[in-house]
Amino acid sequence: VVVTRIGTAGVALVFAAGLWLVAAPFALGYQPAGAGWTGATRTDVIAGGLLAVAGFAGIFAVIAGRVSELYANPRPAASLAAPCTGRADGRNTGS
Amino acid sequence: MMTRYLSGLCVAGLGLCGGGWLVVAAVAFGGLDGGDADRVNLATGAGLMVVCCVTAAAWAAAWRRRMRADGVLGERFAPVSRRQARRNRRELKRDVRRAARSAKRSAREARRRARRFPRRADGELGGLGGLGLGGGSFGGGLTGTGSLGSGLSGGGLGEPRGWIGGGRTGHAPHGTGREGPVPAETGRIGPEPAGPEPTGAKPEPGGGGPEPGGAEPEPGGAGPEPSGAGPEPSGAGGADTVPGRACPSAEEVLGQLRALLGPLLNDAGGEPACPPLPRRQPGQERPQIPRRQAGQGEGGAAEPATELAAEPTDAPAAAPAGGLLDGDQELLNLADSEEAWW
Repeated sequence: VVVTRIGTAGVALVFAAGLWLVAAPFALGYQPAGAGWTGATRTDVIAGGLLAVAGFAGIFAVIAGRVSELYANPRPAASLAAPCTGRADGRNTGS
Repeated sequence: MMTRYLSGLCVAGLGLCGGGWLVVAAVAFGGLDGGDADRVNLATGAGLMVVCCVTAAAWAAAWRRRMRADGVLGERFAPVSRRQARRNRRELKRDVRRAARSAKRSAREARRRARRFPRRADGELGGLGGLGLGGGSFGGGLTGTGSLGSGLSGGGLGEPRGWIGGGRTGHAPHGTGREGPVPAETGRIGPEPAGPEPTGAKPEPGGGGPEPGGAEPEPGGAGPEPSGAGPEPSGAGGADTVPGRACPSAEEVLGQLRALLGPLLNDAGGEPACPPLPRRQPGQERPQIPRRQAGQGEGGAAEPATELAAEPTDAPAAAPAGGLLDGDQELLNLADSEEAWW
């Protein structure tokens, strides 16, 4: 479970790094507003866009794979409900 | 099932490539424009590469674990040093040797026990042998005969290993080749000579006790006991015979049988062995065979039996239930019992 979470976090980090690369030229100001894109800006936006798309697809695939596994091997309702009993009770009492 | 592992690995690989490109673009090509862009690209690329390496390793480990849980990959063996391997080999050899020794010992004990008590198990039920011959004392007498026990003792239900009705010749179940004196006090009522068996030449090593076969008093044993009463032909139970291997010839067995059955036949006289069957008169219908229907109780089955008993005039006395004679029910119970199947 831990390694799966680490992997999922890594994919999310890739997605975040892509977004950062796209936004970095404009956020840090080395791309002047109203001017044409410099080489650095073009590189960052293209690489960041690819990484963001790949990271998004990766996150989507990981979640979809996990959901399909759950559908393939559904755990009994009791095992799913057992760990959440306390929270559910608290939520119910709270509401 | 492996979609997420594959996609995770693909994303990690792509991120590794993107991080590498960023590092290369910032360093190898002499910088893009200097300043912040180079530093951002370098830092982002390096961090991306590290993250992607960790991500790829994590997904690979998760995938391997999953495959091992599914049985696709085998269990991993810890590497063992040569010394440890040698030690393991020695322990394994020692265990195998110990197991073989204990198996040999148990086999030897079993053989010794079988030699010491060759017919103990049979003898426990030997008293039941008389039931097979109807008279009670007849089977018991043959059990204790000593020289003729082969093939006759199995006639009853006294064989605990499933020899129901199968007399074994030459296997010496109850006395062929047994050289010990068979005590006359075997629980029979009939007059018996108290002397030792004439066939016994020397005492049996382990069988000094009384024959367990006749330990129970048998109900019908009023007649003269054939065992030891008449002259026993020697030969089958001689001192030279090996217990369990003696195989008397048919002539000897027949001679012994004749000697044993002679007094019985004399006592029985002209009494028929089986009651006369009712004869059907011409024109008389064949009596129906009573069949028990499914779900019919014993009362329903008893009715046809009484009808049948009432029909023929010269029929023998009605059987108590289902045409069984006295003592047959006990015989059936014994046949169904667990001991009989053993």
